[in-house]
Amino acid sequence: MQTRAESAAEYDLKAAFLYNFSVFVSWPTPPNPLNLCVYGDSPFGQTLDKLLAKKSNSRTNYQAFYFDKPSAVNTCHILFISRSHTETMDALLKKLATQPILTVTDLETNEPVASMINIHEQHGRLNFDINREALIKAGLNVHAKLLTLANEVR
Amino acid sequence: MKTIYHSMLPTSYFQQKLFKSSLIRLFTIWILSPLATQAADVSELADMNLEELLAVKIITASKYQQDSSDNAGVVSVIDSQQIKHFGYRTVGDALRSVPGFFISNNRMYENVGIRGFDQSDSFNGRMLVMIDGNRINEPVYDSGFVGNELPLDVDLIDRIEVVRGPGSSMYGNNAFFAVVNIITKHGKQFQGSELAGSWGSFETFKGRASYGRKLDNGLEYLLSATTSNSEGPTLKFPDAATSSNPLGRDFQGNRDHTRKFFAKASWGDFSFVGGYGQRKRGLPGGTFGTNFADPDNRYLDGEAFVNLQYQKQIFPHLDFSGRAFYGSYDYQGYFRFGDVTLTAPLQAWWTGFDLQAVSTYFDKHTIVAGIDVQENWQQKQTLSYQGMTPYFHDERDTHRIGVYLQDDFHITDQLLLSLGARFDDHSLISEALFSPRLGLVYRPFADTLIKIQYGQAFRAPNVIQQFQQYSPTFGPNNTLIAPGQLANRSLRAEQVDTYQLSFEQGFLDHWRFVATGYLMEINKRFGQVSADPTNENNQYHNLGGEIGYGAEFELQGRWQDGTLLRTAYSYAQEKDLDGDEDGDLLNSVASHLYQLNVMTPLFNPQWRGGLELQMLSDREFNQSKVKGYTRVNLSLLYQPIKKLDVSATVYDVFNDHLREPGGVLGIPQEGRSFRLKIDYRF
Repeated sequence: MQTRAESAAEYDLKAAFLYNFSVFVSWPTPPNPLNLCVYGDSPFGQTLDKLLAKKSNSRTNYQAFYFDKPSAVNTCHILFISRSHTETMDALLKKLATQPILTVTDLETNEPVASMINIHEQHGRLNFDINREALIKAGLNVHAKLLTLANEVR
Repeated sequence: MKTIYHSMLPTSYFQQKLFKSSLIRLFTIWILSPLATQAADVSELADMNLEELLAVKIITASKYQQDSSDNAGVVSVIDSQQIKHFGYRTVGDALRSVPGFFISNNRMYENVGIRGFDQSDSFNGRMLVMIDGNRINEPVYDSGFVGNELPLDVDLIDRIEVVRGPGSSMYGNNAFFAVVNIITKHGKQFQGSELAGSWGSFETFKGRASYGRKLDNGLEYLLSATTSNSEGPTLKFPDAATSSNPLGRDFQGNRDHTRKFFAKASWGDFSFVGGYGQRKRGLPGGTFGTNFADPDNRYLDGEAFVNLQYQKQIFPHLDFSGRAFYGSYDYQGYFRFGDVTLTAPLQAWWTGFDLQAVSTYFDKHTIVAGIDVQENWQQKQTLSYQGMTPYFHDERDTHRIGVYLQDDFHITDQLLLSLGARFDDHSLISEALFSPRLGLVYRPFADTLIKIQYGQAFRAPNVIQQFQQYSPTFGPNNTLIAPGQLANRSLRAEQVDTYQLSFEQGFLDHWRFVATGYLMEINKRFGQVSADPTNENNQYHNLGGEIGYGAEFELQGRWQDGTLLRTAYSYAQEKDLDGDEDGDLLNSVASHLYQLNVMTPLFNPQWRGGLELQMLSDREFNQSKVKGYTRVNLSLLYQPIKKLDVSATVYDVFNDHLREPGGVLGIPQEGRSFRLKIDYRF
């Protein structure tokens, strides 16, 4: 109906958010390929693959990886931690704290989340909070624009 | 048997409703409105930047919270803010503000008039009422409760979505004139406790305690209990005046006592909702020919609904939802005729399931397919004089099965074609019912919408109409006191064909104008008629056709500071297609209706005011002609701190809404009344 989409399935939208974060984050060395990993049960279906295929170009090749064990994490540039692995999340994040991996979660909670970016629902739309301290510790730089768009920066 | 007979209402009028009640049944559909929206696909999202993405609404699996722009029907939404600000006590109060809707309170139930047609004779059976997708219309009388008898406290409502026009292509039975879907609040919206208390006219007290929360592990829940008690107004029935009671006063004959419980929880892909409500009420005015002003005349409605739902996106383009439900309805009537008491117990309970899949696999198509099954394990009704053998007793065990399919085809960015149909098999009717629907939504410009809709809807005959049978009552000298009733096993479903055209235009950022024209052709409509020349027995028949047509014009403005303006004028007209030979059950047409709602901050943001106005033209009903009314309600809401709301409302400020059609002189209304309410959160 609309020329611009007014609504979308939750995880299609979250996949698009994940890609967009990569635009506003700079790693110590520009990654190519850029590995976007999903840790735990993937809620994305094939969405992430399709989206990254569409976004890949000669400058950056985007790849999606899915895994259940925290062994291969070191190769990730963006790590999305699925709700299925929330329980073991804190231990993993502590281990990764100083590595340049952008950690993202999608927890609906009022408590501060240990990941760098937490996507959550707000008034039927998605928004996100940024954990600046965690980003600095990992040596990742974030474009000011991302900070202004965030719901909360701490 | 000695019978004293003060009749406030002609027996024929109330007979059907008499031993009645209502209840709940349900089945559902997770889809809130009949048309699914077009969700953005991945490639579209891939081209959007973060700012644009932040503005996109989320659709969680099968929860199509869509805008009215995606629906070929005409939708009105009343949200919790409006319920609070206008001091709505019941869903019926809220429905008074919907274009084309009015409420006729016959002192037993709140009956919803839609597009000119009064529903007092059908207990709102020509309208589908749902709570969170659960069908509330019960399988005995079909009643769709909206008054205090609804088993849900209005404080727990997040919003009420009203779709004018037919809904049978998705929902089946009863979605005849309109669909009213009540969506309850979530635990997250409370995040703690809330206590509410109110005091109003006629010694009306109400208290509620609620507790809701969303936990970090994803579990969300809400628990609530409500109780209320009202002595009821002293109503005056001039028809029943005697030398000792010259004004025909019935003191506290309409007392009302309720208890309501509600629970809701969701965790992961599962959600649960359940509720129970019970209302005991006095029967005023000698309704049904009972003793006038006898405090022992009373009745009780109790309903329960339980729903367990699972919904999941199975594949990227396929959402599944499955739902299992249970419901029960219980009605008890005690009616005093002289020294004897007539008891009219009724019980029903049912279970069922509804499975639905929504696919977006095909480009530009959103396809919804589902099956909806309900087994009514018991539909039991009895009429007996206390201490004597029942003179009528009937028990049924019935079922209904519906399958439905809908395709929303986005032909271009501007044009949506919606095709839908549903087949229903009701075990008590021999024919299968087919309810097609065709809708076109065209958006030539960003702020302009043109919708065309054709749909067929039905109401199946219920067990009362099909099986209720008893002998007439004769007094001394063989005079007929009350006619008997004959069963009719050959009733067919009544049907309506609706053609609707609407035009919506947004302008100046804050305003929206909607004009809707409609034509409804009703056929095989149910009516209670004399079954014999001596009028000793009544019977339900399929009568002839009737046409209803009219238009609604609405203007809405909404501003950031919470200011809201809604105003509407509705015109409705009705024509009998076969020369009035079949009684006048539907002909209480109110031709003109004007509505105005204004909500605005006053002085500072802590104070808000609400003004509500409804003007309805004259109506006729059987022998009585009832003058139109101008009903004005004024509300004031004060929020000194975030945790506390104090509100006051005066209803019918000008004391002008005093009679509703019925009987010879009309049914008295409460007139001017007030309510004070306090909500406290912690």
